[in-house]
Amino acid sequence: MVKSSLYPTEQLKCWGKAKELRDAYYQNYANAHKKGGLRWAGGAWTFDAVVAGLGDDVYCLTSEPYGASIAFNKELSRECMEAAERAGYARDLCSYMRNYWGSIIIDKYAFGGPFPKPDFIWQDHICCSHSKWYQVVSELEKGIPMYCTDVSVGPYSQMTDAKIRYIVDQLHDGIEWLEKTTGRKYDDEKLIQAVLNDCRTTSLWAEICELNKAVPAPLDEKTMYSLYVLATLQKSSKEIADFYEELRDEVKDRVARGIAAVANERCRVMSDTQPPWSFLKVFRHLEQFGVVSVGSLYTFGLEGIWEEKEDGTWGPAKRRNSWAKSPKTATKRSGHWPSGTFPNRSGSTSIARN
Amino acid sequence: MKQFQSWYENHHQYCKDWKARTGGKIVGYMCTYVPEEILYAAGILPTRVLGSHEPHDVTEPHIFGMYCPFCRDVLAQGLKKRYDYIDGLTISQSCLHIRQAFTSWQMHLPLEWSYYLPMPHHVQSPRAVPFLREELVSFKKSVEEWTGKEITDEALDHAIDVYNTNRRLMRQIYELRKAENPPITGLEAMYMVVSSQFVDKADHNKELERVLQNIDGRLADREVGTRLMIIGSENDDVAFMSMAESVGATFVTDDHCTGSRYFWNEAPQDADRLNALAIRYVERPRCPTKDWPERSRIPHLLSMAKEWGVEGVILIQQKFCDPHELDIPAIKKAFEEIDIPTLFLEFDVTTPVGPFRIRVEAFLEMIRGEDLF
Repeated sequence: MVKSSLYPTEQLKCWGKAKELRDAYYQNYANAHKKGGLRWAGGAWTFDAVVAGLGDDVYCLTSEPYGASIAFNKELSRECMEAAERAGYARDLCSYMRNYWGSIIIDKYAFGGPFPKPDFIWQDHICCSHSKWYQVVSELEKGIPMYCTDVSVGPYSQMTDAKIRYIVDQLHDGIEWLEKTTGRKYDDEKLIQAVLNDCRTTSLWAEICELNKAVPAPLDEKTMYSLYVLATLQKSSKEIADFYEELRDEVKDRVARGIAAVANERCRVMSDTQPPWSFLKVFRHLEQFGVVSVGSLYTFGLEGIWEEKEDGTWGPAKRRNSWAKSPKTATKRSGHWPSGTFPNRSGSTSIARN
Repeated sequence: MKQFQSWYENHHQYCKDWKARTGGKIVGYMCTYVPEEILYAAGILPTRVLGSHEPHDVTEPHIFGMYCPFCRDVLAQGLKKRYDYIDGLTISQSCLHIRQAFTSWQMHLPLEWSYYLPMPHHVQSPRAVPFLREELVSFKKSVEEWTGKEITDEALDHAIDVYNTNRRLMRQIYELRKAENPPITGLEAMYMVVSSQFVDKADHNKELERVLQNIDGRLADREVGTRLMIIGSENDDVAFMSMAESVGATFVTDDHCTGSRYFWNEAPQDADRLNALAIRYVERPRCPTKDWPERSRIPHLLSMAKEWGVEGVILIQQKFCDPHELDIPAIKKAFEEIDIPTLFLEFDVTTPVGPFRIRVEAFLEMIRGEDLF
């Protein structure tokens, strides 16, 4: 066990604001009807910017972060998963789904009160069960209108105009569907602003991740989960894009001053795939041994937008600040992250020092 | 009917003989959404890659244990070199598990040609056919580049005709299963359909025609028992089918990709051949991964059950098959609402025939309303 401090450390100044944003998100969704607004539900990677064209009083609940929030509350999670199983859903199905369905079945919202039924579903099909998730949600709620966009057009490296056209055409159909379903007139200007916010959020988050190349790492993975989640809630939100700008500046300052997330950083690791939401303290355990997890597929790849630079390096995608003259589809921009993400380019999964 | 069984039991030998006889290429395919007609038009024999229903441990380093047993069994066949006669491999997008088997095969058993076809999932969207058509253009081009031979319209017409004939003939045989005394059992139907997935369709068609000529009165003396339907994921578990039909039941129809889903609809007439194929594959009875937002499978299954006089439904799934697990509660509910009981069974690479026999017998007793004591 390594206890001695090698680097200075301090709390993130914007930590409180991140918590406020998250709380406001869940309350705004629950209280939307009180203000005459609408509620919608969809996955963390759905095209939330498209729904923004319906107005500023349309609030969403994204499913994976909500399922993860339930997982953090072990007793509620147990109740939810048991309820889903009683309803006939297999126990080996994704636990995000089972938590979410269970919350509907037992009618308990993880943030207090009964489960707030969405007015419509706006999902995308990113794996072979994402649309099926909401098919069940719609049935559990006795029929919520649902639209889902298929994005599974093949590897990003083989993108063609026809593949993009397939997705774009579905989204155009989706906008008509949104108008018909909600009875609202669609506002293109709001869509454009939301897309710009989306671009800002995702490239800022990639910039923040890139800052973690520094030694000592300014952020640890457990903290990153609490910060990255804001993009999974609503990446097209101006508040979240603005917050990431503030966060980026603070993390940059930490790097400049050599502020560590883990004061005794000796060994840097990264993790893969779904975080252990009900056991995130495992990262604190590692820290006792001087181990800092500097990132993961989730933290870097799911919300960061990256690109290959002209010099062959890989880094955060350039931010688009206006809609003027859309450049030809940037086929090299993606969430894909090669082995060069971290200082060690050898492809090994950990970098031990000292 | 014996010929279908013989082909099924000698899958690899049939393919090797075909290759020796014709000198042609063979392509393994891992999902029935693959447009086999394009391969066939190029003179290639498409052969479905299936498992062998034997316990194995060769896939453990490559695929998680919680991936479905079918995809692991499929990869095991490659790792054990049982498909060493194939020249290429392809898959159309269906589920993540079988795709893992495909990519792992690509990595560990490189072939001259392999192709991932992004078959759309949103088949209920009007955008699916134009998208798939474009993908079929790319698929065809890739096959042409590999074989060094153009696939002509005439060759495509011929392939579509042979495949449509095969579908029509198997559909005719399925129609006959509506009879009070179905002339074939569910096990025989399984041999017939699964063998069609690797036998040259021209050969298969000849056998189907021969069977149809001699089918009147066939199995007239066999006790039909309870009329069952079997629904679920990939299933060529002939041991299970045989067992269930030995305890007082007959499978009169099914919804499997190794059954009716494979051949139910034909490619329409269209001067644009690839468009015709796109329509055919988009409109076929759906795999659960593609059945959304509406549950189009349910009215199809209920109507099938009604037309075939089904008294009970066995719902099966390959263990850990998420898409089927996401459909089964809704299907079960739909059948129970029309008073058709269901029995759910989870399949693995091998099935526990003894315990399953007890469950099937109990299910049949319940349907027949038999008193136990």
